[in-house]
Amino acid sequence: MIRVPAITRRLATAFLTALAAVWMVPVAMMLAVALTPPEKRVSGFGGLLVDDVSLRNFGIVFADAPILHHLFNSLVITLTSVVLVVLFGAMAAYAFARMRIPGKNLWFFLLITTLMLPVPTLIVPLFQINKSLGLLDTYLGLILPYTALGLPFAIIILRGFFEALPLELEEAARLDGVSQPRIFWFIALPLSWPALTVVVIFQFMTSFNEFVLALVTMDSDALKPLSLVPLVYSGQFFTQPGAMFAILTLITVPVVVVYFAMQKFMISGLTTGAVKG
Amino acid sequence: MKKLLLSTTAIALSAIFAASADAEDTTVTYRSWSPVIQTLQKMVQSTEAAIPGIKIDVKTFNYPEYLVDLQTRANAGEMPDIVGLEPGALTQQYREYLAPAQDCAASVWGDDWQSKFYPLAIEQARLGNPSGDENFYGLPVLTQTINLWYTVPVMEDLGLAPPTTYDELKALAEAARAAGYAPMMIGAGDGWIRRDVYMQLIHNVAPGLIYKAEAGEVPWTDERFVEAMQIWKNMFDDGIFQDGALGLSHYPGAVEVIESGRAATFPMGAWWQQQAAVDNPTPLSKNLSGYAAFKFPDVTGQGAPDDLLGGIDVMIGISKDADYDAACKVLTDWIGGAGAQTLINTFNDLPAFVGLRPEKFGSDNQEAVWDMFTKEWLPTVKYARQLASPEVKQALEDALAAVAAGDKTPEEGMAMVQQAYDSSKG
Amino acid sequence: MRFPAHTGTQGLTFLLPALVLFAIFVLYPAFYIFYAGLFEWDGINQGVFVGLGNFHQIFTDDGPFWIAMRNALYWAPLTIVIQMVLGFLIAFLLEIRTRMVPVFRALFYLPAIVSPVVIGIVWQRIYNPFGGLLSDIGIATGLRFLTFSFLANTQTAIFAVIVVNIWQWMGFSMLMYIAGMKGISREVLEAARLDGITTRQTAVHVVWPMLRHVHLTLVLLGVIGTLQTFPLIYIMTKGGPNHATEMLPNYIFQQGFILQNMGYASALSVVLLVLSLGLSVFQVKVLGARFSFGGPA
Repeated sequence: MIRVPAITRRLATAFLTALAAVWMVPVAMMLAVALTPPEKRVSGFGGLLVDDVSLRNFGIVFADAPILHHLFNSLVITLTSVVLVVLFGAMAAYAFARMRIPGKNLWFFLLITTLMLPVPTLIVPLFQINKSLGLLDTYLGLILPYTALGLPFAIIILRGFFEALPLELEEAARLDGVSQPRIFWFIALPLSWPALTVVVIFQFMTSFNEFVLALVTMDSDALKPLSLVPLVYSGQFFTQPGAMFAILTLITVPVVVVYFAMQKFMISGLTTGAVKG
Repeated sequence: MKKLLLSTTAIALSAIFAASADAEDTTVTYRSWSPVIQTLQKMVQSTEAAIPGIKIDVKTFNYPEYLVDLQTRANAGEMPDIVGLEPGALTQQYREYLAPAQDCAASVWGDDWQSKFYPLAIEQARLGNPSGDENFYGLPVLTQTINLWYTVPVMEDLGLAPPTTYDELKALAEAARAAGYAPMMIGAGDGWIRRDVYMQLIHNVAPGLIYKAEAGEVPWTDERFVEAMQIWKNMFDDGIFQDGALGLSHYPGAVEVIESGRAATFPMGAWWQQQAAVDNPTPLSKNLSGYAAFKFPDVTGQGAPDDLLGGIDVMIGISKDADYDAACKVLTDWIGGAGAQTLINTFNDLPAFVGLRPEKFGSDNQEAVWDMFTKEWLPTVKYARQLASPEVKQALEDALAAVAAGDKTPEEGMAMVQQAYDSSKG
Repeated sequence: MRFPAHTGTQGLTFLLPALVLFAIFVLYPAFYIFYAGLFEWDGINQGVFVGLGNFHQIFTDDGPFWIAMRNALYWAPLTIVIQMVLGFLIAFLLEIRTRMVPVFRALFYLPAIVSPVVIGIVWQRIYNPFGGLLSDIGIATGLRFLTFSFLANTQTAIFAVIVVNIWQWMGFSMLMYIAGMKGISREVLEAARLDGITTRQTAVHVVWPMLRHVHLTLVLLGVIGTLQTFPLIYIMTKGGPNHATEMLPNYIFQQGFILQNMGYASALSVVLLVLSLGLSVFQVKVLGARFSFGGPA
């Protein structure tokens, strides 16, 4: 909290409210189209001004869309890859920051090669690997590639953090005879919460939203993550925008819930360590 | 982690049990972008009821994502049993992976099986085959024409008849704009609709010329191509298309405006009839009461051609790895059997198989439109709506956008196409 | 200060899981695209070896590739700077407020969790000059410039898309700044207040410089985001009109799957890989170890 004069605070509120209103216009348009009766089309102001509101579009799509099931798939895939990225990324980053490794710089730059490589460029070889490892149509077929592709960012962020940690703490533990893996696990890792949170958020967002590799890897509807659902329904309802937007709205709802659940964790995660650091 | 693995195993196991319950059935997998999934599910029901012992597993994608899925699977030896194809480049790309389908057709319909189809469908099915290769790598399921449509109440409101010349188009543009309508509503952000309009323009300027250019007999920079490109440009400059057309997708962007009743005319094809068959159709689309099809106006003044462009909408090929007999049963049922009747009942597009008719029409107008397409227009089709080479297709679509945006002159636009043609020939 | 020598093997053990995953899911695909980039290949049938021919074509005769490079040069600075400034401003103003902070936070972050399918379709409706939102507002208010065809014009289309991207991801920058500001100690801010400097000066001269680590992380993420931009382009403009909004991932996708040029697409991927490696090395070398939170910034 920053203390300021009351007038400044009121101005800030006004500005934020106005900006938030503008920011929400596209979201309002999504709702407006979803709420338009299915046999009606509104042209003018981009369909924002509906005069006749109906929930029937939601009725049309609701029976048809096992959203929670797809959300479950997304969470299994995403959370597992987040855990793996954090664990393996932190181990590698700690090794780079604190341990003696022959050819360290070479390994490091090798590992961050693909920091910026987008998934669509790699689908064909990734599909082949998944096939030869028997990972097609399994959660692991997405979890492992997402983890591998998320590692470079995790390693860069975490190495920077570990290097900046004061050495004295680890030094003292070492003199007490604590082994290095235990120092990593019980001292360095807990201290790195703020950096880990950045990694968690980034890995969560990219894995949760990825859809190109998911498209080819998951053949069974039962295993498809939520990110594929909009594409499926944009084809299925391509001449029924109301129904399409109803389902897209429905998809957004559980994601917002997940976000709210995570928000507290994210802010506090980012904060606690920063205060201590 | 343990729980996770357990739940994964549980899902996998349940899938295995579900499959083994019908162990005697042969499962045929179908992947495609067309027909739409709601229609396809109805077809599966009809076909499974008609052919005992066959189960059909279908999935559909949007067209670009279908290409990704098919290519990735074929590459790894995982081709689906039957696949949706477009004649030309797409079919040729997968030729090595497809079993010739004429044996299947002959086994079901006899040696004169070709006579059961519209001639154009038979002709286009082998588009792009290497010379001497007479195989059918797919059999046509649906056909179409491309043409224009108008919104009946809008034209009544404007007091105009559908335009037959460029001057009438311009008059329509002026009247429609004054009344707040889009004269010709197009989502020219999509390449295929730009190309559809251009194909009709060049068909008016010089029928058949584009196919000669594809064969290398005429350069793409020929002045007649340029002339058609100039007309395309004029249609933007003269306000015949609505403003900002290049930034809009045809689906759902332009279609939504059309169905809101603000478009006087619009380019589309025979498949527009399917608007009447969706759940909750708009008042205009219900029984197709608000729309009528018309031929592209004579924009050159030298007389519009009698034939329309069109041909195969979707055809289906059989994978070499598939159980040929089972795949053949499904495929032929979708072309001429119970599945086909279900498909045609949804007005998805015109049949490839002569004589199929929807069992029920909602109005006399809807039936009249159907008969006009199948009896008058489709039999005239000589030239395909598609181009053989994907590079040329893309270059033409890019050139149309560049010319419309004013970045290139019509000459420069056609030079882009020529360049792509040259490099595609290697 | 180093640990004793016996930790050399231990170090490699720590690297091992990352290296194994990397070798299988990154190294093999990378070799694959390097190899495929040497062929003229449709993606499934036998290819023709063309050596460096694809690369030669990319650098000498590929208009859309260079448009994509130019667009990346617009994209990165514009999105990064504007998102940072707006995100910082909002985060700072939220520090000033007391009530409704979680609501504002959620509203500004919401676009980041809306499906790109929605975003593409809705923003087309906003920009559409026929019955679109901006245009009809323009007509109703007399602000005629709003009726301009932003997406249809090849000069403005890329900026119209950049606006959408900023709208979508600004909330993420805001979130990072909020977290960063929570880390600034009370005493510093209190001291600033007692020194009598204005709110604006506090923001610009006290808070902003203390968030250097956040700035650096956001720059890194912004560059990654630029090179990976795909869904927005794929759904909203497909790179058009006439490649005016082309970005590399979308172009690679088009070449590989739509135009049946998988060999050429692989060569483009190699260029992207080399480019991203160069940028990664540059950022790590220049910006060093100062990305993350909490360390001495």
